[in-house]
Amino acid sequence: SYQNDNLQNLLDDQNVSSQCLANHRIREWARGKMIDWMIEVFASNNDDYSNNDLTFFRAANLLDAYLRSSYNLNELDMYLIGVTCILIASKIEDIYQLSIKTIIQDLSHNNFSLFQIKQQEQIILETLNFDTCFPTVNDYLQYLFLQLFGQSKNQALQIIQET
Amino acid sequence: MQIVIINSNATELYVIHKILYQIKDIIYYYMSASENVRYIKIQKIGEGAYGIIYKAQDVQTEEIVALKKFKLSDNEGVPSCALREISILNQLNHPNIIKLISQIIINKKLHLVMNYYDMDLTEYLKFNHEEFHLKNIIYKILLAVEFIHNRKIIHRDLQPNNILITNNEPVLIDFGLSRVLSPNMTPGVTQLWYRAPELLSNCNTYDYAIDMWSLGCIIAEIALNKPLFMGSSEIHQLLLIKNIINGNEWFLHNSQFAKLNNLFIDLINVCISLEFLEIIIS
Repeated sequence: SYQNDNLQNLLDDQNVSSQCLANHRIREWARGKMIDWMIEVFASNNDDYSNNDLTFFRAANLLDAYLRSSYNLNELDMYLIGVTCILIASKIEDIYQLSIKTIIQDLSHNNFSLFQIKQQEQIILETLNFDTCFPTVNDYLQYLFLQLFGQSKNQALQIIQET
Repeated sequence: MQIVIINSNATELYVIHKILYQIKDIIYYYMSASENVRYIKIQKIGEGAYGIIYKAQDVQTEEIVALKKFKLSDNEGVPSCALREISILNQLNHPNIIKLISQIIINKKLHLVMNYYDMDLTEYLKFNHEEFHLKNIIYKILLAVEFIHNRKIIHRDLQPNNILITNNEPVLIDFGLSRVLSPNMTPGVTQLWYRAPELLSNCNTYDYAIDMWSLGCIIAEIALNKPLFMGSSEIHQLLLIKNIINGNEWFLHNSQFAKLNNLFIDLINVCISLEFLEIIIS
């Protein structure tokens, strides 16, 4: 029953982000490149207190959600949007958030100013109407794993589930 | 002489004229500003690390609301606690959980607009109430907490001050510390008297059970009319918990609980059980 409630809530709150590039002049390749770069960032940022996986999925889904509800963006805008999505995701998921200073210096190599990032953050949050806590791909996967392997006593499967 | 006087009159007139124009400018400025300001602050209610809460009036509908003002730091944009609170409250729609009316930016500061209630549980318990009112309140609080736990959200700051009462119905407020469940979280949450033992021992992998512990303390407080554990430091709090709880049937031997119903004691007992696995999770 608890599991059923959980699934029902996951379905109720789901944020559809398919067809996110329909309104833009952005190739799928550019979005893929952005996601690859995010993976690289989170793989290299080995902080003890950073929930790397959760933050990555949150950032990627925020990117899609924003792209879906905005219009006419360029491939050149993608970099700033991606960096800002990482900032927002880190604020939601991490114990110690990435500071804007780190993001400017290490992630964007001084391509953007503090003001640009803060402005873009506000634009993204207002476009999404501050609705940033929707379940991510990670939550659905966790549910699926629990359903598939949760009751199994096979050790290999349990190891998969724990990771 | 006359010419000089006329001259001075003329300059005076000119000066007065100029001042009038300036006053007009100022009045226009404030009028245009007041069109933007929809809420007028009446008084300060509370203050915390996150910011300040005001009682305010809506100019358009003349409704009394609560305004929560966040301190915006210059370097970090929107503060993370504000971001979490808004996104979580947007997601929750339940009669026993506070509703976020809107979020506005006044003078570059983020304000949350919420319904205003003037009584919290601590004040409510100062008066005598009928038993079924109290039972109803406990039941509704449990429903609200189940609702947020089903959405994988932990409140992390349950205490009587964060439960408001209106017409004998409870309303959960203050989601500034709450977050979505994750493997690593900070242990420094919840007010000391309602803090669970796993938080007191600085553990950073915990789950919904910490909310159930706080609930157990709150329910006991409703029954006894005073807080269950009143520690002055983390160590003192742990000692109090250890002293009171000896074995499983500690409530039965405790004179404080003699007058209470058995089912009631069971409920508290289940909420604040020391066995880690026995604490019910919603």
